[in-house]
Amino acid sequence: MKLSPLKTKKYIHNALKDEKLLSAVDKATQTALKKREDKKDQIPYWEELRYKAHHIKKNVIENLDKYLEEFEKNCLKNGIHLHWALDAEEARQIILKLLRDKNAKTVVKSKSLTTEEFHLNDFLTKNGIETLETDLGEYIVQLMDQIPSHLTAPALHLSRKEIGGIFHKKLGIKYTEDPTELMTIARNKLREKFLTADVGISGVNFAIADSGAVCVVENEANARLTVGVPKTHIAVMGIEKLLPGFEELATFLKLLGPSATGQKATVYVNIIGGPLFNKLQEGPEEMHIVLMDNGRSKILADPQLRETLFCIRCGACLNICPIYQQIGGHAYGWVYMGPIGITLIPQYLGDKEGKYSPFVSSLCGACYEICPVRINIPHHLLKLRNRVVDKGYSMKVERFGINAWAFLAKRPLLYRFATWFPGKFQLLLPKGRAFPVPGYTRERALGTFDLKGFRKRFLKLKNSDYQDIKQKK
Amino acid sequence: MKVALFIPCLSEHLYPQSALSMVKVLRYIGADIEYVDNQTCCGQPAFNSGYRKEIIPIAERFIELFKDKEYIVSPSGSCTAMVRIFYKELDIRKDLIKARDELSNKIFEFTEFLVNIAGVDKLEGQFNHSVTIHDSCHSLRELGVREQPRKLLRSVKDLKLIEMEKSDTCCGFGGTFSYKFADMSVAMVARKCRYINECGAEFVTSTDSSCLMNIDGYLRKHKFKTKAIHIADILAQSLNL
Amino acid sequence: MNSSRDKILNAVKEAVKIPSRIPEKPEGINAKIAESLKSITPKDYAGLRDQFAKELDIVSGEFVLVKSASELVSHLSGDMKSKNFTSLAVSDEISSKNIASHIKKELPELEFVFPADLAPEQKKNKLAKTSAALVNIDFAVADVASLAVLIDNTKSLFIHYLPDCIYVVVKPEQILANLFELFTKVPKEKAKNMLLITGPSRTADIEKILILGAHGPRRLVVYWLEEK
Repeated sequence: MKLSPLKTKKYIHNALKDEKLLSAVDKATQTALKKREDKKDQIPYWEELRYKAHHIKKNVIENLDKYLEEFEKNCLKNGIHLHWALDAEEARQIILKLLRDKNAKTVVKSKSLTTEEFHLNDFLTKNGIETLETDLGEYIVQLMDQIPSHLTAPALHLSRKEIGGIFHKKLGIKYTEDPTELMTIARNKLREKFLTADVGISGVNFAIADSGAVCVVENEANARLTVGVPKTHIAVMGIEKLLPGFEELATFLKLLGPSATGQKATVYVNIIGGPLFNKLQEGPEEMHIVLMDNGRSKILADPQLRETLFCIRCGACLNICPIYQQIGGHAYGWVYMGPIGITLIPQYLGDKEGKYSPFVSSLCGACYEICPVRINIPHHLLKLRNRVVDKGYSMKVERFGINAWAFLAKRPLLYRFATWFPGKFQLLLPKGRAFPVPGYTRERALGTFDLKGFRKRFLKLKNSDYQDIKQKK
Repeated sequence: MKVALFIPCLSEHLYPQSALSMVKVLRYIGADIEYVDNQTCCGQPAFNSGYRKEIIPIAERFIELFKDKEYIVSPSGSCTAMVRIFYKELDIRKDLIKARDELSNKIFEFTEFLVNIAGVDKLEGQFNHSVTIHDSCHSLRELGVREQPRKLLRSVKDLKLIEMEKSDTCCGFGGTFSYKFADMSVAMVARKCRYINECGAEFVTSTDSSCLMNIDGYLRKHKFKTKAIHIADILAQSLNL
Repeated sequence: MNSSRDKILNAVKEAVKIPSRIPEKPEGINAKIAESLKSITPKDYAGLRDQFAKELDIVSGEFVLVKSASELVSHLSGDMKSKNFTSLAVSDEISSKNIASHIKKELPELEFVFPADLAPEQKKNKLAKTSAALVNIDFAVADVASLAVLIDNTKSLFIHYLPDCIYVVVKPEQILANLFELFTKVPKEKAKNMLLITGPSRTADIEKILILGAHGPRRLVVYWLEEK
């Protein structure tokens, strides 16, 4: 499945016509929001906790070099092999080499959005290594040859009928759409893989600098099996995932569960600080961490936009977004979707490829209101829109219109004159929507343009009315 | 109490009556009204479309026009937010920075001004209709205006305030978003209007003309019974002004 | 040191020199959190235990309060019998082994699996085929019903997630009020290898319908052992 954020307009158009998609996404997001609300209400210090988390992340991001060095030192102490990857290509090559060294034939993978950034599954498959997603949702989208449509619920856009259909087709089983049966089929299929896979590849939710450990949070136990059963564990993370210590981790665990899935706590919190085979006589003999930059240090260099590196990928901003709720994740055209996605797309892929993305928002700010780490998404979108414009990627017509309008807006007499002839000057109108605007007026009636306008009416009515009102009182 | 009016473009050209209603209510509570002539646009549409340096002279002009005023009041939450919040994002002339920062403490959305500054907690008017309120995103999330309009509406005799489902969900207008992603915007306002219709109120009101224009446009085109009305109009009518 | 490392670190060092334009948090946040936490935390042991039981129920775990080891043995044996379990993995602690020896008397047919006795290469396959496990944990966190397992010694970890049904024995002194307390109490040297378990494994990836027993255990039974 090849998507591009440049086609987002077309994707949105198509998604809006897809009734099935709409009902699936709507139901899923509303359920998640209700559950979140319920759990959040049981934490009376929720708002304070958001501030705290924001503050913790701010400190980490502003001192990222120190935390990275501390993390590296402690990982080495724990016998973890650390690999630094500048970009996607290097990350792919590091992982491939590790797998070749281990002579790996089968890899089990637990959810990692970071590896989606560099299409690891396709890459490994092409190199002859069987790579299986093990989170049920990820497994489903892998069978469908799609990418996840949500940060925490990858198959949220699919109905059980579609899932039953693909299981029937790809796994050669009798058709069923019973969710429990489908889970059991996936479980049995993957259990065998867990027990025989050579390597497990996981993502990382948080990395603990002062201990050299990573934390992987999940519900299905697939991550537990991925990091705990095969002989080699490779964890892939972006350099922004660090936290100073475990005390800070507690704050984030408190926020993550309710925000992501409406749970007070996820079923498993795996904290892994090195391979333990020598102690336990079970599990990994080797542990590797791939620390990937892939554009993050560039994001860090922006004094404002670096706040987007605070993201913990909970998906709450997707659930609350009135746009995401109606179009799902694929319409955004990249692995990160929804409000946080459209801040990340131009930052990771460049302002040219991401030139439409920051505009896929009404700037309503519901995402900021719900974000557990208080990322001011609407303000960042405005900044990114400005970047697109300043780099010259906005439409020429628009630029001309804005310049003409700005010329007039500095000259009140001309401005009044221009707006007095709305018919002739409609393109120059501020918020020029009093007259037919492509798309806008198809489903919406127009307001009536008042030729006198407020100014004239006000100046006329001034004296007489003033007395009236005073008398009334 | 001296109040300078800031009349945004939509209010000037499309909804002058609502702005006049605001003036009447402000006078009713005893404010001295001043109209700053030669005001134009605050620059919000261009700013939201990513044009920052283009609007710097417009913002500078606005600051100079309004800097000496005691209070500035506007019938639009989003234009108020533009001046109060987003002017700080602009690289304006150094000598205007102080005036800009002061301005952000003096400019208010209409209901916010009534309740927080003028200290009005009730207006003894009468309005024998049911009303539901749409929380305009910028009023709500940039200015923190949520309770103020409700408080005023509740004080009006015979007015039945009905809360719709998800009153704080965006109506889908979003300025240029409404034609750049027109079908998305329509899908959003359609949903908003469904909630409005389901709550059964006769009127839907808000603190922002742009949201109301969008909602009203959809309601009329699709022949819903509910009418869109600016909160200033309700208050002025209730007081028979 | 490879060059990518240096390149990344240098880029980061350069970037962090630029001061942030990010608002500061308001004052007094930590005090407010502490105060709020205190106000919602049960005051005594019984309160914490009941909170744990309630939260465990919400996450579909089963809570059984037992007043003696023999009561535990008889309940557990009855449960296994009713489910027709044929094998039980027993964690390496002596207390578990003791309980197991009593269960053996009740269920003589039952196969007992001791992870420490298994060769490394057969451990995973054997435990994956075992019906149930009897395990110990280190801490029970009341406000979220989480069980903390510190992996700092030679105890098997497979036993906590490969079998289908997990019986956990918890003792009153293991209770903690919340996650903050857990991470304050456990030194980082131990916390760095830790597993937190909250209920049986689950998924809601198909139409948000909750299914218990995804890739891990389908049942989690907590025996709260309040011995005199």
